[in-house]
Amino acid sequence: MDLHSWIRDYGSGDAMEPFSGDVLLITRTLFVLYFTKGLPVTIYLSLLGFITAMLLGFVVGLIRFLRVPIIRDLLQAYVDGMRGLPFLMVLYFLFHVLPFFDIRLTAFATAVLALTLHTGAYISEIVRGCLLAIPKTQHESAQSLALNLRQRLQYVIIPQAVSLSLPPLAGQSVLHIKDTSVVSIIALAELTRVGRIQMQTNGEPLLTYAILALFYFVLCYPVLKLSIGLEGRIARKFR
Amino acid sequence: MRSKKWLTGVLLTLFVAGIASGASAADLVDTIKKRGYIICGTTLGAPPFAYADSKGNPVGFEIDLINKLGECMGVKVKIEDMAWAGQIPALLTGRIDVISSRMSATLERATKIVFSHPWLITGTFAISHESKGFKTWKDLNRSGIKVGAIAGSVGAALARKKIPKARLVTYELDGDMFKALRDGREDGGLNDELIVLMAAKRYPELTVLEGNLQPDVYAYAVRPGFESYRLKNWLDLFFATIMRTGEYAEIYEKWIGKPWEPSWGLHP
Amino acid sequence: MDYDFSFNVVLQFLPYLLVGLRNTVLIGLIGILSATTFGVIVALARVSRFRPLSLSAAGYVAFIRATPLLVQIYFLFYGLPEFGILLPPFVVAVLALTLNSGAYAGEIIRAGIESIHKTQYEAADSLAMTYRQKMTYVILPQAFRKIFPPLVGQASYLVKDSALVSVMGTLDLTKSATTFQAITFRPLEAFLPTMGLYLFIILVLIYGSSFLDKRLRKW
Repeated sequence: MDLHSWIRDYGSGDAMEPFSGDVLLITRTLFVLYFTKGLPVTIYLSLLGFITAMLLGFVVGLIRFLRVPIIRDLLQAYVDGMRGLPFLMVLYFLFHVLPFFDIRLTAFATAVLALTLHTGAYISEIVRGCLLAIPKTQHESAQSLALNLRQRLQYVIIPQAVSLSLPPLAGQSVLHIKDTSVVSIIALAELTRVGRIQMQTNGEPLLTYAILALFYFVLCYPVLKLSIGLEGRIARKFR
Repeated sequence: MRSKKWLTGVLLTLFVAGIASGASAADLVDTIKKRGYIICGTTLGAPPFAYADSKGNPVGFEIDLINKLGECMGVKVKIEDMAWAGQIPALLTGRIDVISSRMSATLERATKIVFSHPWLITGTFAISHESKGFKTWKDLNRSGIKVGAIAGSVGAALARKKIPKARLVTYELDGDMFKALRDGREDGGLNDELIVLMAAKRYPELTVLEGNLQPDVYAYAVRPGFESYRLKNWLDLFFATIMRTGEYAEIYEKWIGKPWEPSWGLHP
Repeated sequence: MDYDFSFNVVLQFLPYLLVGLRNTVLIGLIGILSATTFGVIVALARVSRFRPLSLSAAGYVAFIRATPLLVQIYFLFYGLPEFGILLPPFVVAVLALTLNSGAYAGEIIRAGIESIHKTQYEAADSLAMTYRQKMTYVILPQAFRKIFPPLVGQASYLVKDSALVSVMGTLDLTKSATTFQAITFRPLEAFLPTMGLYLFIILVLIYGSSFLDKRLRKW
């Protein structure tokens, strides 16, 4: 008896196991998997990526604010590049091209690098904008107190800029968390990837992706609410 | 004197670099043994070969074979999931040590990578929704027909070559392609024999069309070059060995459900 | 570096690139138009006095803002057929981008509407205008003039996000690059022209919006 008719009539061994789930079992499996395998990676990616992006963005934003001659133009090109490219393209580019330069990163490291570069550019814009928003009078009064540039920045300008920057930074962090879902495309095992792979066997897209959306919602909505709240508080403070 | 220090620095650097480059002439098997694990690449998403179970762990025919490989070599295994089309670049750039998936050994691929001896005979078959009424894969070769295949797979290459009149849409994962077939987005899909059979079993509304577009075999692959020479020979012997000892037959029957019928002509 | 960049390969890529460019531009244009229209609807719903409407609109916007576009795309592409709605990938792409960008556009338009001073509403009422006339002839035109720059910025986000529709197999700019790359294994020849095109389109939109910002302020 040939393979085709055998498989059709008699089924097979362990291969049939994943296909026998009922809806409740699939739901429970999804919840458990998202929570144990997907969520930790997503949170780790988001946190690590955002912290490094903040470091990068702060440095880049400060340098651009200070208008350091040649470096400012290079950094402008970098920021424009990140703003003008879809994150997916940045990710693909780093993933496929870096190995040709002998830089062998794991998928996770590539993802963190891509997230850092992309979000960092936006953060640098926020930082620069907040530094520019401090009125000139602050600079002048600091100078009249005989503070040099570093002291002026450190004690007067930056502290004020920080509170201005909190709302847009919180908003950016939500976008950052959502960008981590894109790294599923290079097969990194975070929330979205876990969902996609499970859907291959359970065949239930509505259930799989609805629960996935729920997880992201629970993760992002508090941060979103925080950013809206901060926006209101800062607006009131500066009125 | 400053220039003396500089000179010493340069000489030292060259010396260290010389030692380092000498050390990297060790071959891959040595590296793997020293490292303690082998990095195997595959794509999860195609039962019964490689997919994720309800605990999210990779399971399947391929996974059992990979674990057996690690057992025989005496190292741990690290399974790297990646996009199907990304396996060859990952191998060539050193991200993985071996392609240990259901990759078919085609002449085209063999110009880039080195295949070891085959471990399963297969072929490319077409699958379609039964309501569409196709009988053989040749029925798909008409304009206005939409055909799906996995990006970078033999199915995609064969679709371009043998069903050129149909419009090809490539998918990342096998399950996505079967879902598209079930929804009626595509008129037909091309994939490997056993994957197609399992999908038709799982989803009764899909039928396998007659005709093997191109019979071929699955084989593991390594990088070209001296570094992987020993590994390739080891892999050849690995498969021959487990086929003779019956370990392969055990794994085959577990996943396909039918006892394995060896074709010794294929395995020297 | 072990790579031989070859212009011949770029020429081979050209047909794919042009198809991808055409699709991305089409999706972008249609997406921007329908997202703006949908955004007006969302904004009006948000400012409506009818509580159930404004609350559900708020909930909708919160859902869109707190979930990734990729998940929304998968949900629509694989989920709608379960309800018997089978749309071609191009349509699903435009739909997903509309629903997503439309929510963000709605927030921008809402801010514009709310920034219109109460006296405008009172003046319109004193001229005995209906709600529809008030909105169409007095409020929305002023709101749009104010928020046109941020809306153009939102349009640039839409084009950026459109890269994600490649997961559905739509042959947009990104998908054409990855398809070519999967066949030839030459990432640089595929990605560099693609990235150049994206940069051109998106930066034109972004800098166009700040240019318009300065010009419109003179009005």
